[in-house]
Amino acid sequence: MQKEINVTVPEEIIIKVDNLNVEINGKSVLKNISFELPENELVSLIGPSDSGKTLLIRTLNRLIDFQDKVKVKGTAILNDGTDILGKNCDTNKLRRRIGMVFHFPTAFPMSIRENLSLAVSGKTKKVKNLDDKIESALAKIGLWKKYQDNLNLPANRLSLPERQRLCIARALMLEPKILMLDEPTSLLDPIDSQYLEEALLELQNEMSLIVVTHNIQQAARISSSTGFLHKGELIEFGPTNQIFTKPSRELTDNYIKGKFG
Amino acid sequence: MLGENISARKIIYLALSILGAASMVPLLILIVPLLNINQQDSGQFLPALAGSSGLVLGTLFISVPSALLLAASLNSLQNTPLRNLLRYVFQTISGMPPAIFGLGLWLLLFFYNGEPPVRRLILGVLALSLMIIPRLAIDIYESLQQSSSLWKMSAIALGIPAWKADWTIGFRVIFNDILSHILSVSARIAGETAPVFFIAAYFFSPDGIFPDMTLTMNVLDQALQNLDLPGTKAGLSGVMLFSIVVMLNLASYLLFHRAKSKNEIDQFNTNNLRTASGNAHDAEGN
Repeated sequence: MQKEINVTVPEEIIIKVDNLNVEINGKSVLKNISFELPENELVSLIGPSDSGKTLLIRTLNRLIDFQDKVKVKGTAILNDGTDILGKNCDTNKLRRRIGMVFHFPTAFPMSIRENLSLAVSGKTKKVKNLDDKIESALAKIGLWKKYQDNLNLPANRLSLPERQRLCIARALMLEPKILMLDEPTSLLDPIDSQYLEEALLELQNEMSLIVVTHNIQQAARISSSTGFLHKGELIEFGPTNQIFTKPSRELTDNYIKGKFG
Repeated sequence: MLGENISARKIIYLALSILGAASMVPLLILIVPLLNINQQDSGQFLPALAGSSGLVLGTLFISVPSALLLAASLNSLQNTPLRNLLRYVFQTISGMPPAIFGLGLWLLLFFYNGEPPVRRLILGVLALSLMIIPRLAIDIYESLQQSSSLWKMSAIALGIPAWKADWTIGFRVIFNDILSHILSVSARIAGETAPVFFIAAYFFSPDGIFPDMTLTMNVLDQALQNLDLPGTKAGLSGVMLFSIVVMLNLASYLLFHRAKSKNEIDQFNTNNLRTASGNAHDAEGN
């Protein structure tokens, strides 16, 4: 990682990424990525496989640190001045502010309550009203009514879609500013996907969301802005309506029309 | 029809439990006459059973927490030279003949105190712990490595430090593995004779109320009754064995590092011939 950088980001922009470049094993895998994520908006990242979507969100919450032989250049600044890619960035604190949910629902081998309370165990200050937080997190993704009297149930007894919701609830326990989801509905059927999409749309009132998806229709349905990545480059980033109706680049148009992908 | 709460899985578990309990019956039938014979004979069996149990429990009490701590430390070191060195050292120690641990401790205490102290049970536990900890640590570490990395990444993504993720989630994920490793080392501890022979051949005075030998020492005692080995000859053999093991390990360490550095040069040459794109593609993900 690199030296700290002083850049001011307007309040209505939650994160500003400028000229982000990532190299792995000497090969450039993200090239000159620049975009601004507005507050309380849901942004979709679309693109074919190996285009760098997952890598981009992993870079933004520094999970990329666990990758060998990686070089990161450029800036990514939060609106409170935190330099995400800076050497002195407290990565654990950063990850509590930029939540991440993976495509495979990884419920920890413990009860629903323990899964949720463990999420806040990384905090240095003692968490007040833990039960209220658990209720709130589960209610936001529609699990509270069903499991309010059964919070000690082992999480692996939940169905796959419910486990995915639990993983989102776990991330919500931290009250993140940004929640990033990597193909959250890839393992779900259309009905469960619809429930999850509705929950995500509700969540954008409280935080900004970045959703990586292969499902172009889903991106069109739920996001206010969309970014199209191809071979590590952010080809186009803008309002979803514009990207899907009048894309400025031919490559974007071809991808949306399904000519490749 | 069965009740709704009784699933097929529960019935299978119940049947297996009954079968397991039933398998103890023949063992009990064998043990009861054995107890009677030994009590009439010399009174060694029950004290020896208690002695072996004490040694096993004492060793586990020290080695399990230590091994868990070392395994978590190894795992959090990722792919660093220190991790590689520690792993090598643990593997080397766990490959040493068991006698070395008892002999080493005995020599150490002999030179410092002049004669072995009376609290032999503790010394036996220490020798066996030194022998078991590296093996157990390596086994637990490898189980952690083989377990899915998804849970760890999920925990780290929540801002939980990597070491805490291992303690709070990792060890739960591999709980069955840990239990299985503990059971196998327990069997090994119970069956060890050589380390116990040097420093814990008997725990307390033979006329004391506590056990005076382990099961293995009872067997050894019986086997050696007809041998009349002079003490100096036995001591010299022990020192020779200790020296051979140390020298072989040193030679192996030197050879390993020489081979490793040569391999690294070969690897460097091979890498230069490869295109970078293949490597980067593997690491890139989506």
